[in-house]
Amino acid sequence: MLERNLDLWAGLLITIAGLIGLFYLIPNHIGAGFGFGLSPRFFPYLCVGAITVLGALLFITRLRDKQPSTRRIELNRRSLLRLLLLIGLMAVSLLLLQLIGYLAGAMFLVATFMLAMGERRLSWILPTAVVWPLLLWLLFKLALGAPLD
Amino acid sequence: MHDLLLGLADAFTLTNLLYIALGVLIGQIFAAAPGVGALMAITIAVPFTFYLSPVTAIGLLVGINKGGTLGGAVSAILMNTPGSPEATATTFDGYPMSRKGEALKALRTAHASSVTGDALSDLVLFLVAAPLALVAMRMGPLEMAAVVLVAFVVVGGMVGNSVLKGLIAAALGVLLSLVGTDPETAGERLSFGIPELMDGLAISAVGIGVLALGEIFRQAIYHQRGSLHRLPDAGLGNPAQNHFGWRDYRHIAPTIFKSTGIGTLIGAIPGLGSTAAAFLGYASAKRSAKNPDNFGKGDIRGVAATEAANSAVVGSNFIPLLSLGIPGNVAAALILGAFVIHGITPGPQLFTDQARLVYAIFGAMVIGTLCNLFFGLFTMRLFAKIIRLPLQLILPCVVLLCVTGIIVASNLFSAWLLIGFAALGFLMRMLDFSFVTFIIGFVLGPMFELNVRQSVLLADGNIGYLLDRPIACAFILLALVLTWRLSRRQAQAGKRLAV
Repeated sequence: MLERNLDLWAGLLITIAGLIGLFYLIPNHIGAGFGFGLSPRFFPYLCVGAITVLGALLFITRLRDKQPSTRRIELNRRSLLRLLLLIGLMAVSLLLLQLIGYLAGAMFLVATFMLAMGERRLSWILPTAVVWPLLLWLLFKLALGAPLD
Repeated sequence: MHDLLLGLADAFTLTNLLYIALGVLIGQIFAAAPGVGALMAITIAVPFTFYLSPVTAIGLLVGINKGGTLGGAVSAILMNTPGSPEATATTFDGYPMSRKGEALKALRTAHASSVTGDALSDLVLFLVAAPLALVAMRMGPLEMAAVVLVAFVVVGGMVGNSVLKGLIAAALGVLLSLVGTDPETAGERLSFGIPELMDGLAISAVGIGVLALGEIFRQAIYHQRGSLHRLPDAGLGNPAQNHFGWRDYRHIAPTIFKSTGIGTLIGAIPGLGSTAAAFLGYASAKRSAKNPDNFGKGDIRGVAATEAANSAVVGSNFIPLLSLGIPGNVAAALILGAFVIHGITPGPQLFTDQARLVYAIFGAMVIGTLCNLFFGLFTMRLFAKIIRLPLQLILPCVVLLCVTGIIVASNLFSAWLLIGFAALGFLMRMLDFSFVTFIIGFVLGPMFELNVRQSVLLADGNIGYLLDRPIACAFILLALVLTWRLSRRQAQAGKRLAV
């Protein structure tokens, strides 16, 4: 996608998110304070206000750009799908970690990430996915006594 | 003098020595492996420092930072693939030297230049930080808020390709630092009733997610097995051709000193960082050379200039961090996060309230430099092997290390947060929103809020208060002028690119 189009979308989405923050999130999720001193909402309003204005400025400047950048950014459906895949793999690993235990989640994480990165040799995947989590488990759980699950 | 001796005694303990040495080794290994980098090592190490004493913790992180300045040169010289961005310019002459059979000489040159640049830059830090802190102590909350504002503009404008995007990233970082409880009323702020969020977002979760996992996601998404078309590995070359002695050092010494000056100056300015220093150092050495045509064809001065400049940034980056509480780059921001974790607030007061700790950190930096000097003599050959490990083996192991680090230091809830921050880090990279400014915004957020709040309360609605503070006015004006100038410069650069 062209950098200019991405910036336009980013500016628009940031402005919308900023408006949601100003009119919904801050009034509903931050208390108004005790009526003296500065309200707890003061600084969040300042930040979200700045983000909204800057997002709108980004949108307007890119819209009015008479000689926009022709640089292409490789953010397409395929890369977004791969991002979702990685997020999903991490989520499943954490779920396994929470439900079964550290070793199960950790081994799944290493093995699936290796597969996602194109490694197909089982002779590489299996030892790495077993030895590395085991090493970390031995170090933190047994040697240092840190809670891992 | 008393604090100086006590501080040095605190630093020079066996525990600290071992941790700093470990840090240097970790930094060198991570920086040597292309696609990983010392920054990732610092990010991952921050949660592991929870259990250490402040001096040991900061020493470990400083060690990693210092080790990282050297490790990046290994793959740049041997494989034409910089281990870290600041070693990019090292490839210009380092790889041609390797192709001529002088790889080990190039590595030794990088080692000597890097350690010299680092040591001299530390010396400048020791001499400059305390006097600067004395000046900074005269500043009130309004001045400090204005200085932070200038830092946001400078970092946002210099690092990315758009000041607007940089400022959005900074504001988002500051906003996320507000999650938790209000400092005055202790009321909930954007914690959505989740108990784990009442203490705010952990710097380790934000840092590891955005910096380490965001980068790993980018590489995992765009990296397919066998897609890294590396140039042929040049090998270490014939030992007879690779001698590096005092004569060689004397030959490159003027280049090293000049580049160290450039790197030290660049490092003291927030936002510019070691990559810019390396390129400027290289350009300066080439410009002043009698035979500039030799550069790019394996000139030893090219390697020396780059490595001295990028290493000199490490020490001087601590000048704004220790004297003003403002980090010069992401590594410094993460070290600032570690300070905060251990209940220390960097800034001018540090020199009066905890002078002993400051000198202990200085001592740790000296140990780090000595370890870098010592290890570099033996580890170069080892790293030449490590850099051949494939990314599809290294990165999944690093992901697990990140998750484990968060669980050990924080809790499983923070590990879930990692996923969101990793996605945010990936998108920021793709959309060119400066993640550097975001992290600095997140780390400086509480300090910025405190100073703005105090200023508003002191002003009590009277605009005349602002006019009574000329230094603050000057900084605010500087922030506005910089925003305007940087925007204009970027717009012109954009037009040139479009044409």
